[in-house]
Amino acid sequence: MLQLILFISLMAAIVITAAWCVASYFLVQTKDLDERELKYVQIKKVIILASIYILMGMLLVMPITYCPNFIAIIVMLCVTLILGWIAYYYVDLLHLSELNQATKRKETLKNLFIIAVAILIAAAIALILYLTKSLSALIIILALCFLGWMAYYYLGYLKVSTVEQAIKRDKAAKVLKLIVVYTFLVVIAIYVVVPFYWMILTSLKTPMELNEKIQLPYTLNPQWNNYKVAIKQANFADTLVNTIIVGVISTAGSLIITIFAAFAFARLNFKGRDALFSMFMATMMIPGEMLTVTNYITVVKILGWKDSYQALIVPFLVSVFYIYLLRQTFKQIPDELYYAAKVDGTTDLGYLFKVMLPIATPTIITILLLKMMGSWNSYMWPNLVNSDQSASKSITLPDWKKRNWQLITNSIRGSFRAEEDGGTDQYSRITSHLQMAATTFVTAPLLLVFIFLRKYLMRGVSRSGIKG
Amino acid sequence: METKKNQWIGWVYLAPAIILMLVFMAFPLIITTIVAFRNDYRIGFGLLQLVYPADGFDGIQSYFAGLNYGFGAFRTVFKNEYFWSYYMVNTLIIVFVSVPLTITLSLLIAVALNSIKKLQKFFQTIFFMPYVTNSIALGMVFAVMFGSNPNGLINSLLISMGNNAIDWLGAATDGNSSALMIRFTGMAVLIIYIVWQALPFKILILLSGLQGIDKQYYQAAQIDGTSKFRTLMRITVPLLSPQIIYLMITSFIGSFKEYNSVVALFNKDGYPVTGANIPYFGTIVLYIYNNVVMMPHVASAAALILFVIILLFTGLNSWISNKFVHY
Repeated sequence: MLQLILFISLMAAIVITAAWCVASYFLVQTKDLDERELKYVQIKKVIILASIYILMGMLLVMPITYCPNFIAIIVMLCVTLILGWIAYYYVDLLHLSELNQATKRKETLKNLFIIAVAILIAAAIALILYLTKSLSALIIILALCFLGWMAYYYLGYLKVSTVEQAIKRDKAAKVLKLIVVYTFLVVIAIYVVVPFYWMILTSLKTPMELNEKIQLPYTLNPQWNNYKVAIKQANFADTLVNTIIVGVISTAGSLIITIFAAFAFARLNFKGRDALFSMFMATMMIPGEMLTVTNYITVVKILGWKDSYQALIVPFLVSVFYIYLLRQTFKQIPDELYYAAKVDGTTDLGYLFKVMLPIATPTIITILLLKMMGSWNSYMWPNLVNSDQSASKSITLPDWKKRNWQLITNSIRGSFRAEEDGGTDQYSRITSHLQMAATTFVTAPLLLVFIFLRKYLMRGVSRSGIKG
Repeated sequence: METKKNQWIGWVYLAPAIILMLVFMAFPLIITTIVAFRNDYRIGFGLLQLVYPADGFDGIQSYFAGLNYGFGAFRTVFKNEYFWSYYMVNTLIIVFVSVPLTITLSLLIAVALNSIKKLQKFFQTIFFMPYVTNSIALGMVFAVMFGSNPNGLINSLLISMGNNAIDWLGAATDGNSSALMIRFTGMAVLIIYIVWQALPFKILILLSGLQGIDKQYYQAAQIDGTSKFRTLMRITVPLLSPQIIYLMITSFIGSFKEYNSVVALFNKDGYPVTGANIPYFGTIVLYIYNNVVMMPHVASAAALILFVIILLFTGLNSWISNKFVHY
C-alpha cells in the first residue's frame, strides 16, 4: 500500500518535472517578452503548488503507516526534492535569454553543477558504505578527502604571485578558516545534542532492540507505552506532587524574603548595613557540605521534620546569591524616584511594590526560574532527610505519612534496578528504555522552560551566575 | 526622626533572612567544627549535648570519657583505606583534568562563536542547553550511552568500526577488564560528562566578555600581521583574564564538590556496578554524605578538610589573579 503511494508520488514528481520542461520549451517560442513573463509566472505557480501538494501528501503518509524500509522513503523523498529543484533551475535557465541575464544563467549553471557534485558525493558515500559495510573505511575516506581539499587550497596558496592572486589567496584562507570554525562548532554541537537524542531514542525502543549488539540510531516502531510503564514504576505520582508543592512554597517564601532583604540592603539606611552585607556575601564561600551534618541533625532530630515538606523548604529559603542579584537591580533605580515618592507621601512598602518591583520584574522572573529548577533538580538533601514510606508496615506511623516523601529526581535514580524488577529471561533484565522514558519525562519541563524562557535564564546567568 | 525610624525598620525587613541564616548557616558552621573534633559522636546524643558521654551515661568515669575531644575523627578519615587512594585522588583528578579542559574548550568555542556571523545565535542556543538539565537524569543518559550491558551508542560505534566493545563503567559481569582499566575508563566517562555539564555556563560568561572587547585591538594586530594564535594568546586571553579567573575560582570550588554526576553515572557509593565494594569512583563529598547519618563526626571532619582545601585553593587563585589579571 505504502509502496504504491510512494510509487505514485514519485511518478507524479517525474511527470511534473517533464511537464515543466516541456512547458518551458514552448515558453521560449513566445516572442513577446511581456507575454512570456506572464506565462512563465503562471506556469511556475502551478508547478510549485503541485509539488508542494505531493510533498505534503508524502509527509502525511509517512508517519501514519510505518514503512519497513525507512531509508527507501528518505531516498525517494530526496530524489523528488532534487528533481523538483533541477526542474526549477531548468525553467530559469530557459527563461533567461536576454544578454544582461547571461551572468545569472552562468550562476544557475554553477548551482546545478554543485548539486550534481553533491549527489555524486552522496552516492559515493552510500556505495562505499554498501561495499565495505564498515564505518571506519568511510571515516578514513572522508578524512582523506578533507586532507586533499586542504592540500588543494594550500597549493593554491603557494602558487600565488600577482596581486589578483593575492586576493584569491586571502579568500582561500578565509574559506579554510570558516570551514575549520564551523566544523569545530558542529562537532561540539553534536557532543551537546547527542545525549538528548539518545535519551529520547532509547526511551522509545523495545528491550529486544536494546539487546542487539549494535544499537541502531533510529527506531522503526516507537514504543509510547514505555512512558506509561515508566511513570507507573517510578512512582512519579507522589514525588511529582511533592516537587510541585515544595517548589511553589519555597519559591514564594524565598522570593518574599529575598525582596525584603534586597530592599533593605539597596534602599534603606541603617547602621551596620554594609558590614552585614559583606558578611552575607562572605557566606557564599562556605561549601554546603559544611552545613549538611548539623542541618541534618537540626531538621531530623531537633525539629523532628523527617518525612515532611518543611524539611525540604525551610533550610533553603534564604539564598545570598538571589539577594545579591536583586540588590544590584534595585541599586540601578535612580534615587530621585524614591524622593519623589516620599514627597507624594508614599510609604517604603508602597514604593517597593508600586515602583521597584515592576522595574525589577525580569530579575524576579530569573530568580523564580532558578529556584523552581533548584527544587526540580535537588537530589542529595531530599534523599538524606526524607524517605519512601509508601511500603512501610510500621504501626506507629500514621497512614497519611505512608507515602513517598522524596522529590522527583530521587525517584528516577532509585527505580528501575534490574535485579529487583526484572524477571528471569534475558529481556526483562534490560531497563534502559524505562530509565530513559523516566528521564525524558523529568527533562521535558526543563526543556520547555529552556525554549520559552531562555532569555531570562541567560541574562541572570551571565550577570555572574552561580547555579541553583 | 526619619533616620531614627529607619534604624530599626531596616532590621525588620532583614529579620527573616537573618534568623534563617543564623539557624541554617552560622550555627551549623560552629557546630560542625566542634563535632569534627570529637572522638565519638552519634546523632542520638542530641545536638547541644556536646559534652555528653560517648557510650551512654553511667558513672562518673564515662562522664569524663564523654568529654572526648581530640583528633579521632580526623584519624578515622585519614586511616580509611580508601580515603587517599580513591576519594582524594579521584577528587584531585576531576579538579585538575576537568577544570583546565573545560576552560580551554569553552574559550575556543567562545572565540569561534564570536568570529562567525551566520548561525551564531543558533549555536549559542544549542550550547546553552545542558545548563537547564537535571544532572542526575542526564548522568543516567551518559551511563546508557557508554553502557556495555546492553551496548550503548559508543560501543555500537566501536563495534561497527570493527573494534571490540569496552566495559566503560565496569558494568559487565564477565570481569574481563582489569580494575585499573575500569577505573581509567570510568573516570574518563565521568570527566566527559562533567565537561558536558560545565560548558554552557563558561561559554556564556566568556562570550559576553569577548563581545565587550574593543575591536581596535584586533585591527591593530591585523595591520601588524600578527598570527591568529598570537592574537589569541596576547590580546584575547589577557583582556578576558577577569572572566577567566572568575571561572577558574568558581569551577575549582564546584569540581571539588562533584557529587551528583558520580551518583548518576555509578551509584550512591561510587562503586563500579560489578559489585566490588571498593569506591572506585568516590569523591570527598561522596565520603562526607555517606557518613552523615552513621558517623557525623567523621563527616564533619571530612567536610572541614574539604573546606580548608577549598579555602587554600581560592586563596592561591586570588593571589595568582592579583599578579596576572589585566584590568
